[in-house]
Amino acid sequence: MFACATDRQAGSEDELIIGVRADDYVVEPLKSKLGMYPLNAQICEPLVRITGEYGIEPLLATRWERHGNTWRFFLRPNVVFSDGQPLTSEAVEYTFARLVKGDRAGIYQHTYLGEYSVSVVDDLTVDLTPERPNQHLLEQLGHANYSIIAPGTEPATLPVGTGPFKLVEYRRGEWLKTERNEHYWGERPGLRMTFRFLPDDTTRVLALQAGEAGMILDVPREQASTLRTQAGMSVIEAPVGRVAAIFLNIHREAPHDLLANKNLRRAIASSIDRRTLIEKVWDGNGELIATIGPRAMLGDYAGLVQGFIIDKERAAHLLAQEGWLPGTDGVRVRNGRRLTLTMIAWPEFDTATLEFIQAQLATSGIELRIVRSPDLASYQARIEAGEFDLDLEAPNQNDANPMFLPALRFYSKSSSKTVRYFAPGSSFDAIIEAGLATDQRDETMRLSAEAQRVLVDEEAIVIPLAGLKRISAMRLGLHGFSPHPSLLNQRWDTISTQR
Amino acid sequence: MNSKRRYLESVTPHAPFEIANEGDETISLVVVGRPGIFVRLLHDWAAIVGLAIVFLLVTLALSAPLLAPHDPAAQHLAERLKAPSLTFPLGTDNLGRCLLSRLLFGARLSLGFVGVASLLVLLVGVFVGAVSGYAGGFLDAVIMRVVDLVLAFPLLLLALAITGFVGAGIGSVLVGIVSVWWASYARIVRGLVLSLRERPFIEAARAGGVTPIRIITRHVIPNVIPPIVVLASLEMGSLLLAISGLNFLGLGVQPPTAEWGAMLNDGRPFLRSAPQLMIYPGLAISLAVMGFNLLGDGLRDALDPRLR
Amino acid sequence: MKRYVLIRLLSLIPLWLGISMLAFLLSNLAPGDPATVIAHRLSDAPPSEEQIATIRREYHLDDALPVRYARWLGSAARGDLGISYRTKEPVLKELATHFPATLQIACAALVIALAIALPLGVFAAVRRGSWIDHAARAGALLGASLPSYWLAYLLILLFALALGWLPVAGRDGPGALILPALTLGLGTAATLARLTRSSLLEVLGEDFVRTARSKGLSETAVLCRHSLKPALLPVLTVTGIAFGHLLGGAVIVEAIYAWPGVGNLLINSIYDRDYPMIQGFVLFMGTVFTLISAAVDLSYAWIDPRIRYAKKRPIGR
Repeated sequence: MFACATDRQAGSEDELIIGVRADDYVVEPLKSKLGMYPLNAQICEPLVRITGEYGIEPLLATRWERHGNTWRFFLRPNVVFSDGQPLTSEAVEYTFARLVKGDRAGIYQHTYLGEYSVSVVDDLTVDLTPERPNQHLLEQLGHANYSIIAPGTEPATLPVGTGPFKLVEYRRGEWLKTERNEHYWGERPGLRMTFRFLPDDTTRVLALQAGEAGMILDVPREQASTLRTQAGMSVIEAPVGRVAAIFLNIHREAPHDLLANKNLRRAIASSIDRRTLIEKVWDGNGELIATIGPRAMLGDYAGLVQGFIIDKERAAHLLAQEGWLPGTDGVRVRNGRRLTLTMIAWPEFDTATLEFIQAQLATSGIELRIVRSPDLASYQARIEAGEFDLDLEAPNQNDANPMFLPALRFYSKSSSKTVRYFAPGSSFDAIIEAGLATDQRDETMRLSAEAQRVLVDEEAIVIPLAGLKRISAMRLGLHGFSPHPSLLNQRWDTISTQR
Repeated sequence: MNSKRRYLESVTPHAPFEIANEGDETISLVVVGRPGIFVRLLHDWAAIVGLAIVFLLVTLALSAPLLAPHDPAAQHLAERLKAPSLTFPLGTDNLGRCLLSRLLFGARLSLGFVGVASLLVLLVGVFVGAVSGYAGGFLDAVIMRVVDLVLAFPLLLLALAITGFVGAGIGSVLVGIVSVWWASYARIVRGLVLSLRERPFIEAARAGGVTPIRIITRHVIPNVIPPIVVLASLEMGSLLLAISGLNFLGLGVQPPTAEWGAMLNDGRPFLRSAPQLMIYPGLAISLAVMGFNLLGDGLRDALDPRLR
Repeated sequence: MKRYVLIRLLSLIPLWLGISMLAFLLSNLAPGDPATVIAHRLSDAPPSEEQIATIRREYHLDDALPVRYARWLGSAARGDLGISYRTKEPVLKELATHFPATLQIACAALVIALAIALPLGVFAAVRRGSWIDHAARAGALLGASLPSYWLAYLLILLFALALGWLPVAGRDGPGALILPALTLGLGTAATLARLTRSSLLEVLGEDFVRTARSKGLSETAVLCRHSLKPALLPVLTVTGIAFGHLLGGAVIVEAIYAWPGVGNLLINSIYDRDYPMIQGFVLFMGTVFTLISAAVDLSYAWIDPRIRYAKKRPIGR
């Protein structure tokens, strides 16, 4: 329709303007995550890095050893912070001490790290001892929350780190400008990054098309297809980072007690045509998946989880078996009670997806009442109060621990507030406990797969719909962008205009 | 010369034998008797068009179940975003639903909402404003402070709270909007009444011993209605858009309800790939606004006591 | 007159009380808990019971509603509007930082609206029935029936993409103001143009205008000296209300153009259940509205000499 504005190169030659969603940085002394979370601008770096396949790679720590419950990290030599200070164990000690100081109750830190103590062995060696044995410490340490900051600095005022970029200017709600860190220990980045906060999805896409952004993140599914066909643009999908799944409320509390019945849950799972959802409603922007997290997390064991295929006859059969017979208007009835279920969803899901699910269930005679939440707080209130039968979510998987999601949401001793609606029970708990206790990654993956098999195949407490891939778009001429399934671990320093 | 005559005819009230001097020219105007309101209305072509549009829309809305070729919620996923055809006269949306059917059914909700909301807003607003303007003094001050409070209050917060209380849906949207919108009418009416209050005929009524309530209802409100009617007719469009705005912010009708404002909002991601998803409901809204406007203008002209 | 102004300013106090109480009640009634939102913001794992409880204690969210309101009122009376839950900055500072941006587009939008509406409305009234009249009415119709976000996208497509004259969004650069102001202004222009036209038509039909005309005054004199002023009365009221609305944060326009104004602040505060910020905002907007309406009321007296505020007229006798 409209031709794009030519050559309006926003910013200077070596600057890449990246349009991102909202500004969610917290800038409060001792708790500030400026530049680190949720948008990691690579100003600071943690001890290890999480790769795109959820493996662990050395970063500021070149190697590590375990002695009992203590982990010893050997720091990379000759690394310097952007303000000139050298990277030593003192910095690690300072970082972790600040985390505790800002949050004695351990609330704001990434879960499961709990209490720990840090002790300096020598300049480049430091010990970390969690209070409770933690097999998955490494995976958690790869989280940007644990980025090492320069001693004496406070990210709320100015984050000083060892990363390839350093902070130039942060204007809340408007932009985060960085420049290349001259002291960086690694390869010099090709471009410097300016992140512009453009919360409106359509505006973001328009900014890319107008040349005001060289790259944008979080392209909505509907606009991805248009951008793919546009000349001068390339659309890039990250591997699956999250899975959109329906969580079913199995807690027996009226009026949302219907789904305590397994056959009813299975009937619902058999009523949704996921392939059509992905191909038609999402325009192909999704991946058919049976697990509740990325398959890469489970390694070879991903195949243990089968999932449900669309089978309307089976659904009808199961429902009839439970006494739900078709009523006059198509909705099934049993003892005078209509088969009406309530679904809540994360605000991020578009109406079309919700309406699709609604229509699919309608063909099986299930009346689905959708309750949209305008924001996260309303959604949280509803889910915590248990005012739902179905809950459509896409939980984050920001650390490399395969046990993370199953444990958090379904382990009855989990600290999550909603676990009581979904927890299967003690035999499931045993699988989780075994997985949390082992330190063999292979075993963890196997146990996680087993747990998911129970959740999805056996109990049908979770109905995975599709794997979500973060979609980014950029102008042609930019190279080196390697999309990471989790935004938190995305690298920007590899992007350049040179091949 | 002709235009001048036309102009004079249009602005001077019709009364027998009026002679005006325009500089050197002497023009005599002889006009008519006093036609009734409806006859006057029917002479105004714009008003007729307006009436026709409104009538058409209301009829379409009421007969939606008969006219709509498909169930507005029925998804034909193989036929997504199709161009108009025999099966789907206006094409389909991103879920393969018939756009025509959705527009027709949407008309019921949108027009119904606008009708009810306008009425309520006008009722409350005009009455409060008239009382406030006429009474003056302390009562006026108090009422206007309440109006200031309501006008300053963010609609989103109110709508969110109501939704939390009553549950989401068009009912809570109605309550939220009416509780805020009456205030601007009250302000405007009060302003008009303030100047009206000092007019000779009001003075005369007061001197003649007519009670304040009677003055307000018999003399003040009828004089205030013409400009308010014009404003209200424009506001109907704003009301439709307000629902759409609330949809943008996440509140409003729940899926899969077809409603023009919701359709407009749902079409946003398809701005460039399938603009018809936004164009059709937008046109429907514009058509409705136009109809209400033309009708409102016609009514205003017909009701103006000075032109009687 | 002076007494009147004083009374209007004093009336701010009951307004503040009323609006803050209402806002407090409604924010707390809205489903959702600020502690949950805060906890989520700081970590991606859903928070546990104790974590939320700790936060609630830290923010005194477990105290009874009247107690919390009284506490807030107490500090507000001393000029301390508290700290925003979301940003941890003082509420007053946040408002002060964001308001100029909104003021910018509100003023620009109003200027655009008046510049279009007044001449058009006057012209349409004076040349009633002519093509200008019809064009103006059609234009007003269009302006009033386009949703702001549709207009915004259209303008962006035209001026930023196709023509490349203006930036898409954001507040940097001189041209950034134009599109948001235009988006806001066109909608307001529509209402104002209509109102100016109809209001002027009313006045032109008045007795005193006829008298003026019959005295031999030229049309221009009739227009300028006698008709415009009274016709402006309702226009003024609506302008005041419109300006107030614009200042209240053109929430949608600011969201689309990523304009860091007060509207954006409001949405974020509401979605995050940032109670202190919400309270501060309504207080602030209430004051702004009152001041504007006071100014509008004062101008009534100037425009229409028949309205007096100095003396109280006895009613109903």
